[in-house]
Amino acid sequence: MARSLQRTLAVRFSLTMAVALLGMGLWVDRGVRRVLLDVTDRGLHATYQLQAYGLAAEGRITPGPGSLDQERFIGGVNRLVLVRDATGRILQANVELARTLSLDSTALAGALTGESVFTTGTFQGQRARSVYGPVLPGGPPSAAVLQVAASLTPFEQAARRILISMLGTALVGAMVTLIGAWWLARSALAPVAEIARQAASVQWGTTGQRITVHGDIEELRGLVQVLNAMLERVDRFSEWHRRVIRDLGHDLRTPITALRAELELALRSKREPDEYRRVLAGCLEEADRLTLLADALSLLGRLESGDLRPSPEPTDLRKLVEAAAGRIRGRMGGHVFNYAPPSAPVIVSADALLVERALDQVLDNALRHTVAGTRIELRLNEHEAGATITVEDDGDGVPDELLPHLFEPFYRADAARRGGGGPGVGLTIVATIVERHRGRVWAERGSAGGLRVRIELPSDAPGPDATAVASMKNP
Amino acid sequence: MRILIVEDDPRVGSVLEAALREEAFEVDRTGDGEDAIALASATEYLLILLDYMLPGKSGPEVAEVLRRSGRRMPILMLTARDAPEDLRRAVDAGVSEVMGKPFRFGELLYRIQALLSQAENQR
Repeated sequence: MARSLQRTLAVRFSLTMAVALLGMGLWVDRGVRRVLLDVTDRGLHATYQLQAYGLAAEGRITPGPGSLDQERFIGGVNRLVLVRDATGRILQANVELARTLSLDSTALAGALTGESVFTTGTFQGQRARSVYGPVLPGGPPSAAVLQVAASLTPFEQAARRILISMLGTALVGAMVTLIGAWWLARSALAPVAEIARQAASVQWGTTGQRITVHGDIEELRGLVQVLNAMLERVDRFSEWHRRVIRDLGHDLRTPITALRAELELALRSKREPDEYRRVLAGCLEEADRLTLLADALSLLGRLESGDLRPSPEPTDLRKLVEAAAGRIRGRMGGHVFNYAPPSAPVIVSADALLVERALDQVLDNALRHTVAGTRIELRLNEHEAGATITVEDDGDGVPDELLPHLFEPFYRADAARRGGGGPGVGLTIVATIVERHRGRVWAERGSAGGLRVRIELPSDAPGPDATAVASMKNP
Repeated sequence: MRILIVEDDPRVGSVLEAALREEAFEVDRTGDGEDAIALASATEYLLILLDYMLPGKSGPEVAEVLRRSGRRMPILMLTARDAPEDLRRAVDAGVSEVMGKPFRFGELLYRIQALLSQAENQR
């Protein structure tokens, strides 16, 4: 089950608040107990002094109310006064209840030396606080001691009431905080939910859809921008996808039109055997064009999907370029072909088969788009980071603004560059192969106004696993 | 009875030319948009078969130039492009009719005949 951020935030916030309130309650409880004990001690000491002066003046302590029961006595007077001798024996008591007070020998001994000593003992099963002191405050040590005590029960009851009230406050505070945090989290997350709803309503195939809500909230502006940038990329991909499908249809229809027209014309009337042979040869050529396109699409698909990954190994680029030069030279009619091989091997890390394919494609492109008598030049240069292969022709060239699009599938800078029926993805295959080698390919205007294609291959191409990151070109 | 074929695919062009000659038309053929304008400006063609994608000038551009210079002959566009915006572009340029590739000869001849008789009636 998906976690609820709203619930998590609310619970965490209220738990934090509960712990803080509980801590505060315990701290206050401790402080209250200390203050109450201090007040009790002061009261006991004041009573002790009054009784001591009374004893000195009248020879006896002031008697307490004899008619009250224990509970009412503790609830009202709560002062127990005893005069003890040096052994602790009780000589006088203000009330009979006082005779059940426990004796603290250490406090008694301290009082016999003339000091006032506070101690906690028992009384009728309750805790009781006592002060022991000499019968004459500040006088010389005497043979008798005055003990003034009070039950701690009222004090403990008050402290417990305060503690319970604090715990209740913590509990109520935590619950109120939970409700507040729930509302706060919901308010904070509501715009995110609205953005998600709008993003979910984006329709595939409809371009120009953007997130329009809450872009003005500072904390959400980044999210909205990222989503809109993603939608823009999706738009570009959609457009690219539509164009590729449409252009693929066009590229299939042209050879099929020729094929169909040839066959239909041949069947319109009776022909000579030679005529049939010519028609069949023409049909075979069209079938070859379709095969070429299918092969190119299949190769491009395998490269794009990552099914076909380069297996780079140290390769002598000079050998590959020389072999490609030999192949294209064999196909040329009246072109002027220039290639001056470098004097030493040019070693790069590359997949020889794929680089060969790219070279053949660029050279084929130059041959198909130029006429006999023009120049095609092939160059190979080694540099620090790798090597650059250049293919330049003296054809009609391509307008500068269209050069960056040449490597897009089925892109035609000018129908003039169509030439003799090459597949519309040739240069796309070149770009994909070069990208998979972490190289660079670009087109520019040649020195005589024709087209110059440069392929830059780094000396250290990636391993087979590093190729999956590459993506389609300029969608 | 002279028809101009403007088709840059040599195979499609040559088959069209052969088929129309068999139907007793006189035929001129070019694969370039600029050449097509020059030919159509110099010769009074009964009809022009015009491809959409051409080097030099595109099919609609050729049609536009011819219409602007007052040429009223029927123009039958042959195209492998069937996107609505392409068809609209062709019609806006003054093309009489558009036919998708691949096509049947029988239908092509029927359309040519229909356009020719329509043009004849309008004269």
